[in-house]
Amino acid sequence: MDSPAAGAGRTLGAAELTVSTPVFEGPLELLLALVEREEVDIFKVSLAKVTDAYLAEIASREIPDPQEMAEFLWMAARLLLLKSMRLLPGETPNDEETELLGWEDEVRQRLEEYRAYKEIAGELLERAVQESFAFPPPARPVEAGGQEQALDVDILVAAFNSVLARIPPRPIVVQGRTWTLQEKLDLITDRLRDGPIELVELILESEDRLEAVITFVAVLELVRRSAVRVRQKERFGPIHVEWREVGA
Amino acid sequence: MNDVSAALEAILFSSNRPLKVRELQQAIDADRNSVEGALESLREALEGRGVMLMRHHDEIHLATRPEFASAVRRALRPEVSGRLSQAAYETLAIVAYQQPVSRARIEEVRGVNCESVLANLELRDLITEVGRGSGPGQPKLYGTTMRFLQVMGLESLDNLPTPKSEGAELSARASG
Repeated sequence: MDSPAAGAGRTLGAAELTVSTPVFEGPLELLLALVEREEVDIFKVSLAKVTDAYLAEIASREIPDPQEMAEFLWMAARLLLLKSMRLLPGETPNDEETELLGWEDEVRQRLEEYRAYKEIAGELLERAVQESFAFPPPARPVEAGGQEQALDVDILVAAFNSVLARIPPRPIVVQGRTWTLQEKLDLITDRLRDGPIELVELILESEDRLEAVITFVAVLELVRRSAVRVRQKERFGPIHVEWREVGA
Repeated sequence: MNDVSAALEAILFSSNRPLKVRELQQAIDADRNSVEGALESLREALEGRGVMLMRHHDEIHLATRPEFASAVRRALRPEVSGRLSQAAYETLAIVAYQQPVSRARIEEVRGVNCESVLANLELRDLITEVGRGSGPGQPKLYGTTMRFLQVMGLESLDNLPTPKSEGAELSARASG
């Protein structure tokens, strides 16, 4: 019942960050690494055999999160108990010890399952490294119905406001260039001919807030001229600005 | 390949989103069996071609074959998603094999908290909520998305990589 799995199922703080380093993420991962070092067949290795290595490993590591530390220690305690049982063979196991033997089997099964998923994860990672992406047809004038809703200017304004604070204010001594609306219109039009642009990303390219405003006004002007189509898949999702083929 | 398959190919080619089998049925006014049959012949007809038929559960789409991803990339420089962490791939593997699956079950397999990694995968549209469990609190159940197949370059979930170790029966363990 009170396996480390149940422990992991508890809600920890959302702040817990999972960083991909060679550091083991949890007791199960550490145990798996030690067991695999011992024996290829997880069902043949005695977990008691890796107790010392397990203890050495957690002693050498800093685990700042007390909850996480508790989970590592819980596993350590079980392993020590198991090892002490193995050191004194011959006696008929009592209830607690019988339970512990059952625990060992259960952990072996969990290790086996975890290892299988780790392997698949490795293959998925390999595919990702090879960048074997399957590209779907691009967005194009033929629209599948029901996907996107007509966008209100309010939503564009809200999106603009949400990122404006992230752009530095205009410095007192202006070093960058000063854009005219026409220049921005030409630039955005050019870029749109190559493909859709995400609105927030376009605004974030601005060097200062004045440029951001000019960019945004240029987008609104293109909407007004019906030169572009503005689309959003879902509420609060990315907003894509797309060139509308004239006469299409 | 017959006319129905060709019609489906045309529809899928011009759609910018995956279409459900039901939508295809309506489009060509045919029953489910004939659409499924036509899809199968389309899939076969596309073997050895630059595009392939992709299927994620009930959703169908076309996509370029992963073998040619680098050529497509050189020509068009399309947007690609960022790299994922090891934890993210482990979680994706569990979701892919056990879907629909709850967070508690994923954490049971990995032995660690998976809240943030699940949120990250959901944000990247690689997994999504596909329903609610019947247990206490009706936990969210996660499944993969069509985008997952695209990013991994898989024709369907049947083409998921399989573990090499013996005795690893993954689907058999699936539980709510």
